[in-house]
Amino acid sequence: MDSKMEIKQSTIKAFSYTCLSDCIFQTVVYVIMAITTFLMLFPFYWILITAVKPINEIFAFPPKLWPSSFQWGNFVQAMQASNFNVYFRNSSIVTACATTITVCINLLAGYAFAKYQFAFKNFFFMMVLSTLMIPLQVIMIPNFIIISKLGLVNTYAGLIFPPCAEAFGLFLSRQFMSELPNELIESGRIDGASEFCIFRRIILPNTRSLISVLIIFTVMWRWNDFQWPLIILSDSKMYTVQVGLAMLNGVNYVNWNHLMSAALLSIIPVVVVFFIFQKQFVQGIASTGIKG
Amino acid sequence: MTAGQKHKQPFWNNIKVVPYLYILPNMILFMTFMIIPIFITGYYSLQKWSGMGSPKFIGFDNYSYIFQNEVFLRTLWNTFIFSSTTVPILMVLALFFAIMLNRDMKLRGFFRSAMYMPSIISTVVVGMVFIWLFNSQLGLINYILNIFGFGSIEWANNPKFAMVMVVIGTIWSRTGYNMVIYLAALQGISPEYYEAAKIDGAGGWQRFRFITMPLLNSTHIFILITCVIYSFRSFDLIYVMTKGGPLNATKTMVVYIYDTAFHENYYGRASAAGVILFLILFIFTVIRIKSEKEIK
Repeated sequence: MDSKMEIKQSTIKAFSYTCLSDCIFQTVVYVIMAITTFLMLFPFYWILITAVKPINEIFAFPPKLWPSSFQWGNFVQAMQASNFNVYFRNSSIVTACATTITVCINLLAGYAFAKYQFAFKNFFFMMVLSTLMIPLQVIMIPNFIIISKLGLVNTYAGLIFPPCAEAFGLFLSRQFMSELPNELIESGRIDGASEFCIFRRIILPNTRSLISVLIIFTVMWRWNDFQWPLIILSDSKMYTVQVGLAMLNGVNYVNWNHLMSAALLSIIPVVVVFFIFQKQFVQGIASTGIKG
Repeated sequence: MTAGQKHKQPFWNNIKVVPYLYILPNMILFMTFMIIPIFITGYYSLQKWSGMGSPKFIGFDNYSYIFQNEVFLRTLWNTFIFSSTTVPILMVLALFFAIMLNRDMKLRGFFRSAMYMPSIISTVVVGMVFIWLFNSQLGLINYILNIFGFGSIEWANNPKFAMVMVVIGTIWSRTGYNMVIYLAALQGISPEYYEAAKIDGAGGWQRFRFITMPLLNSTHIFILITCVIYSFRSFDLIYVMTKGGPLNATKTMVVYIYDTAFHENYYGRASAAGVILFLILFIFTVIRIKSEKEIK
């Protein structure tokens, strides 16, 4: 009892001291976070400001932090000057198709790896897992040649299919589905449901959160994908948004107004998806941390 | 339906066949665009081929060529420099901000989102906005340097500074992502450890040094290896910002492979470089698997 009292008294003595140092510490934390947040968000602000500046202020030095007037028409001009509406259409088609395919095949395969026993199961799974570390640059030459032999250069199919083989989604699906109780499947079998019916009617409704994580990741990844489209596209009518941006950036005379307008429009879809599904997104990374 | 047929399932409902049907589409894609291409890359690395005509077998000439080629050796060095600067900085910053944002504080969600925002946008856009900020005549960064009395720097045209620019862009875009992984690991540490340490009189630094750091060991290794692999494969940002220039100052292995294959049409040499890249990453992956097993 005595020792306890002593502790209490010393705590009270230390209280004023701790409070002061705590306050200082808190302030320091907030200052650091405020500066960091500013640095993290400033480039976004700079994209926006550059996009809507009048053209003469782009070439003003020192750069103007706040434009004298907002030229919202720059967005329209940017879309008209280059074929960005076409690029957006291409990117949307590729992203939508690729996401549908990737999510479907990963759900199916993940379910098979999680809930069925079959010969060479581990072999197949290890094979898929081992591809996680393989960068596109190692396989892009053969892939390009395969796609050219199939006559799929400059086509949607050529853009969509090769990157659909990815281990991350499969890995995530297997992980998630192996946690579903086996009784779900057994009860379905006893009721005489066909195997596919069990998958569709019993398994899928129980994997909503998995499906949303898969969709978000695949949408972001495919929308932002750059190198594969760059390799197989030579026809500017087929450019995706990212390739279109990089090509605009590569020309000798860069119109920063148009470039930043297009860049801003191109990030709107992913930013919207991010804010709607932020929670699932962060959970997805935290639980796997694999997608690079 | 007779009794005999009742037990005979159609093949698509046979429990022995169904799993193969389910993995089939995935496996076809994996075989065609992942597994087989690795072997084809190995095969091409032994051929002389420009994409036209038929490949000609030349043994290990491509390897001996690239290892005597100044540009390739330069790219190996650049890749090493790029990795060894981005990875430690990324890890320290990610851990630092994860610890800061693991505390209870106002605006925590906002700070976390702000940290994470850069990693969701495409690296093409990241490259573009940074090349604009670093623009030598009109860029904001040179303006700030001027205010503080430094001269303007030709970031994109000066071999000394181009790499700095690329590293800054990479760090901006990747810190938040790694922070999220650290945050998840920190949230897995039981608060009881800290309470016990507080009772024993351990200060903030001691708690960090003797509780947080050791408990994050597996996370450190995981993030280290992911960052290293990411730095070896990062192409978009460098391609958009510098295309590997000036004077090959920012040309990393992946840019070399791309240029050699698709601009110079030396498919054999590019494949040989691809095999080298594969072997390097393979070693890192083996290290990661081994260290994970040891920790367990």
